[in-house]
Amino acid sequence: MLSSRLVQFRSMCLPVVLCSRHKRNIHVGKQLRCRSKPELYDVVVCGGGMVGTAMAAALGHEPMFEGKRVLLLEAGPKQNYNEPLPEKFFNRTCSLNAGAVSLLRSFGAWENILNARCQEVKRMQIWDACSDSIITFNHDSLENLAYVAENNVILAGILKQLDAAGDRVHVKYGATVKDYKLPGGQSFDTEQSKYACVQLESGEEIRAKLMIGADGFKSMLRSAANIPTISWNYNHVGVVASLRLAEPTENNVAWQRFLKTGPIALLPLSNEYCNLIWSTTPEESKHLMMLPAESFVDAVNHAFWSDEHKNSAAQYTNRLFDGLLTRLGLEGSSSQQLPPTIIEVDKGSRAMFPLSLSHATQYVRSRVALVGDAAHRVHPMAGQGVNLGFGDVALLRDLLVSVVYEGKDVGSLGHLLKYETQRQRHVVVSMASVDGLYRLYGTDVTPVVLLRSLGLQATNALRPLKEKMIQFAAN
Amino acid sequence: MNILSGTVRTIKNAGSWAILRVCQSYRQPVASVVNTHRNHSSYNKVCCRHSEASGGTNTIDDEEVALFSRHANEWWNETGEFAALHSLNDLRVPLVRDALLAQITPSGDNKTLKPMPLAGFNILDVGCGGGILSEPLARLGANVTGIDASEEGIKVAKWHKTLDPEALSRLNYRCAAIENIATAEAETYDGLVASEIIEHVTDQRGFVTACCQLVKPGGSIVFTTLSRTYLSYALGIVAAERILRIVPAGAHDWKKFVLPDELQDMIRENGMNIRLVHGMMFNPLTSRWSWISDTSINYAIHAVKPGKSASSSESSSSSDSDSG
Repeated sequence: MLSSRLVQFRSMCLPVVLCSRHKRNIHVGKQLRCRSKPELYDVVVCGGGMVGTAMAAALGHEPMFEGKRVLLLEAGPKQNYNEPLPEKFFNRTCSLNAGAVSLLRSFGAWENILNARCQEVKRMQIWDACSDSIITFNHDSLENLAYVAENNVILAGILKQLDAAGDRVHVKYGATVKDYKLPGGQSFDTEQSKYACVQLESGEEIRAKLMIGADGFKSMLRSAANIPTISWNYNHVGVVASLRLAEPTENNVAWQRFLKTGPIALLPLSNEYCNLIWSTTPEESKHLMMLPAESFVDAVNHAFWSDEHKNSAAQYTNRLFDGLLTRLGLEGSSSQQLPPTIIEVDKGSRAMFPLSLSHATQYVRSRVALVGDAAHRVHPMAGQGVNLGFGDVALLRDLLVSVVYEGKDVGSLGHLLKYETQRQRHVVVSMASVDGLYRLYGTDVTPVVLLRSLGLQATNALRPLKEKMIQFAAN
Repeated sequence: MNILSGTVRTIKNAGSWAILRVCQSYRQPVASVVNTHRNHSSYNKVCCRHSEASGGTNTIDDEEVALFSRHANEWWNETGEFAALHSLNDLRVPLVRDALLAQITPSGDNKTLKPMPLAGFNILDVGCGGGILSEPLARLGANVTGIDASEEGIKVAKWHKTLDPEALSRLNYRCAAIENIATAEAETYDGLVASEIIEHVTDQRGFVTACCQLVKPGGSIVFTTLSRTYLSYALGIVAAERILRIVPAGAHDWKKFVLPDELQDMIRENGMNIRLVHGMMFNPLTSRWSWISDTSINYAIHAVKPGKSASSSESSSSSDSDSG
């Protein structure tokens, strides 16, 4: 009796102790694990992209999570962030808003990114190919509107902080997920069914009180949780490239022009370089990818400068409206700055990727929460993609902290639903407005062009409205 | 157990409660067992030690056992029959936590978040049932002892603890009645919680005395319960049990509900200082609780035993104003 109890006790306790203390001592851990119950973590984050790594690092640096067990699963190998940055810019970038910056700052990653490479955006100019209407956003008094940083730089900055969290976050690289076993909703829990369980290709099983899906827009955890998505394809492709300016300038303006085929944007990378995000039809994108370098540069310059799609009726009305606004004492059309001229495209920096929009109808289930693209994928037009993901991380982290301070089980549905409600309230509006803008500008029918240019002008003139927009975009 | 219950009944009929007091003096009469046992704390059950001696049959008890085993499975379903008790944790866990933290930092200034804020505190959860309140308190680092006179409740609680053994290593359950331990463990606990239990107790005065006896000087007791008003009858019995069925029918006996003033008097009689009296409101649509000033339905009381602890400075005067 006594000896059988001892055996039970050993099989329950030993692996836990060994695995947590000597996590990197895989041989010892594995042997024991095979004979015992799967390890139980408080939080397992699936997916080591920017958002997933930020989730793990944020929890790892959270004082309230001291003593909690957090694991990050990443299918790929570990990235070496200590290598010096290549001189050439990476072609995938994000524009980080104030909310994203404050999240990254909260666990120290922001300093890493600032020290590595990023460019501040002080002004944003959005205009239309069919008329002269224009809207500009400036942050006169407050800090910068946004920062443009390369995805790899952002990830490296977060990874460095993840490592700085030390033993508080375990990381498994090369961990391909085979299957998830999730608790069955309302029914009575048993020891096997209570927690979420992930099976790796290696055969290892890991249990989690809360499984966070940061595994991208094709999220496997989302499918395992049977969470449906609403999605549609824009039948559009994003073309990206690193572009060199004709001459170095104080490059701190983000430029976006709505063309008939889709928006084209230039984000500042340095005083000499810009990142191009050109959303267009599949045919045109193929054409753009095939073009010789010089012709590609010409095409970009043409897209920003061309007057060929101007709609005379809209322009005439714009001028009248502008006069009216000025008489009303509003600021009328902002002085339009001219976008910089491009002279060269970095060799090998041109790339294309399909654009789509998808939204999970639910972000949570019992013991499951989705963050980032697993929950919502937007058109990269407004640089919102990763900002929404970092917004998820910030809210979920704050919520989990308060949950821990109330002694609650981190994975119970009650508080996860709060996360879902609060995030969807924000994300759905963002997605709808990005998608709406996209559709609004995807046409050259005169009444629509007229309305949208008047709308843009009016919005530009109304300071409080603009400030509200900046605030919303910042969170 | 069955025999014992039968015995209990006989004793009751004989009009003598003296012997019964050994295990459940303040508990309610056995005749109402079927109606009331389904509350989260199955206080009607007698102590486990005695249950070994069971053997006879008793119709009421058989029903009771059948019902209980059915409902035991419902204990930990957060959206099931005890959903309201699960969500009541949103109020009572912070209440207990902050009450205890105020004992070491009375001013409450340095409320810096710590992962195990209650580490080192000994808490007694009276009428712990399946452990809905005991578990979060243990996760906050406290050494929690959950007691319940119901063996079934304790069984559920012990079983559920094994699902998270590491986080709940400081949690222990015992099948015991409070007055059995009141003398032996007098002044042992830094905090005592009697949440949603006193409204089921017959000898409420004795119950309160036992509670006050168990806490150390400077220690806190926290009660949450229902007030005996027309409003609580309408909402707590008619609406909650019969219409909305948030609470199992027959779970409560309105006549046993205690007015905040009555409970405060009982607590003061034991030399405690009342710190806080606050109303609580349940929203059946969101299944969430919130604090309100009105105490005519649900309310919570926090009282402190005068003594050497840092928190023993007088502040009872301010709390009385809360009790409107």
